Amino acid sequence: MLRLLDGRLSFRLPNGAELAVLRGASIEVAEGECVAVLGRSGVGKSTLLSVLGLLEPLDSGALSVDGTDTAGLDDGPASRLRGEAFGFVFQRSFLLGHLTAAENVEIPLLHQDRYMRSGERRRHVRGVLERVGIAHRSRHTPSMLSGGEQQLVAIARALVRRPRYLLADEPTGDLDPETGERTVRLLADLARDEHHGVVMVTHDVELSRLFARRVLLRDGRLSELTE
Amino acid sequence: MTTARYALVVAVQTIRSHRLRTILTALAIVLGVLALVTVDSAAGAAESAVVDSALLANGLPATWAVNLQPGLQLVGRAAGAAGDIDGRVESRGGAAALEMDGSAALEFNGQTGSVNLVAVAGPLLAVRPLHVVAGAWPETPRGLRPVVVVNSAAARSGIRVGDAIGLRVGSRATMIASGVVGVVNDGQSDPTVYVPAPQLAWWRPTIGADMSARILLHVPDGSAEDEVQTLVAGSLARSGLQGSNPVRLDDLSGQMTAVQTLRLAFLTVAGLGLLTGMLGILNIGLAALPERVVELSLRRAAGATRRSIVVVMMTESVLVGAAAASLAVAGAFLLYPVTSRMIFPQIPASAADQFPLLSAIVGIAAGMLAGLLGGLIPALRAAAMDIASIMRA
Repeated sequence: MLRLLDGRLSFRLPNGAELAVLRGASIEVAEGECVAVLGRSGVGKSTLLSVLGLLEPLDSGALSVDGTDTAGLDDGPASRLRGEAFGFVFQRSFLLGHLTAAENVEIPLLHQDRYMRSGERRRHVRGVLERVGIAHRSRHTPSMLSGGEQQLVAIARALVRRPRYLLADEPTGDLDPETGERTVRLLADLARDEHHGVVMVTHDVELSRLFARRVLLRDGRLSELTE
Repeated sequence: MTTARYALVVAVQTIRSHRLRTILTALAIVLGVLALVTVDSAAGAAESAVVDSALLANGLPATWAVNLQPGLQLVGRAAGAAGDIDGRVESRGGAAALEMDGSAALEFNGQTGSVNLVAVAGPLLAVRPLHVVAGAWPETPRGLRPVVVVNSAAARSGIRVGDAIGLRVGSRATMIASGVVGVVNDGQSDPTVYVPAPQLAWWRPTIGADMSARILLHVPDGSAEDEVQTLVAGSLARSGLQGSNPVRLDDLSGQMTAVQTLRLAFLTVAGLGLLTGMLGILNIGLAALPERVVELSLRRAAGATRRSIVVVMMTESVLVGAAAASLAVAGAFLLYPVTSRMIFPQIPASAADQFPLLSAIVGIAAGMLAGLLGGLIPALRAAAMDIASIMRA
């Protein structure tokens, strides 16, 4: 269970003023559950994902990942927990242009504590690329892939360490509607088949309906959407 | 350990993918290390040459010479005095030998030429460490027919161990048939024949009047001059000989200072080159950071700790430094026979062919150090990046 309780986070603006982004946000996400986070642009949806994914520490409140309280974790334990528990999918694929699709997917495997031999890594990467349906492009560099294919590679990268939660920040933002819908359906299928919890930020209400649960971020707080 | 192994994989991927950046980074290191290794290796060879030449000519550290007055009965008495001194210093790790210098006509293969003649009594090699390159040094010569040793310069005329040669000492003297038992490198460029003094004296009893003679005395460091003087004076008096005050021969300081000063000057210039290389790595590393924000943030998001980001970045720069230094060492190795003699003309040709391994190790270590220092600041800055920024990009 990913649990955020009364999370608060503010940023200091260049003019010295304080911008409160999260003002007591709370949410629980179980493994295998799909949650869409809706909200206006600039309301703090990406910041919420940063907090959930241990990329940004809270000013106050509590965040626990499968029972582990993350408060006060040093960089080492926090990074290890982040690598084990979370996979990130961003609006842009953020594939590294100098690496092939397979090498991009391999990146998270090169930052784990367990050593995997290159052959084992290659086989594992191949399996994940097959799972998202892009294995035939594994040796291509990002410039040789379409936007949708790049995002599939990015999803494979997020999945390669078998995370318990996928955090997706507007993953369809750069895609056409049809490809976007296919991508979101893939995330939902992965959650169902492989029991990942998925938190997806979007402002596309129609796409959000593909997820069983939807929450709205407004004024720094989260509320369930029933409609 | 796992972090280091993965860091190596990531570093190789990055270096392979950014060839131009790598080449630019490596270039300054190559030049710096090339200069460093070239100077260091040449200076090392020059130092060795100076030291070796001084050791061969003047003996081991702490060697004294006592010049003896010529005389008809000199050989027997001088050999006795040298033996007496040798017996007194042997227990302290020292040695003493008689060395008499003169000239002779050498006949070999029907040809006659002039050579230096050195008559020896006592353990000369324990004082002057001549390199035996063939055969052996006659420790205890027996028989009347002299067994001789020639130096490398004499051997260049074709004389080999086992050959018979003739020696004529003095204008009207008879030819002394001799057998060659060894060849030594004595650092001299003139042909020289070493012959046991007692055997030579049997053939030419008055030889002591025609040759300059000295006792070479090696005593362990720390023996005071007056102690050596007392020791020598006693032995000479007992043998009925007169000699000069002992003079210490092995003062290398002047020659070594000249070589070391030149070496320091060149190394300073080479060090500046290396510093430039290090600044090049630093500069390119810092300039490349903005374009690596996404990559590094992704790695952090994927579980990389700040420490592992530092390790990855440092591994890259150290690898580049090591590869550049290896290239530079290879270049220095190839150019060594030419550059070493350009920098230090006093290096003998033989030494200019032997590239010192230590210089290669120093060069590669210097390249890796430049990579380590040059990569440190970019690595620390990369580790301190705000990874959440990628989520908001």
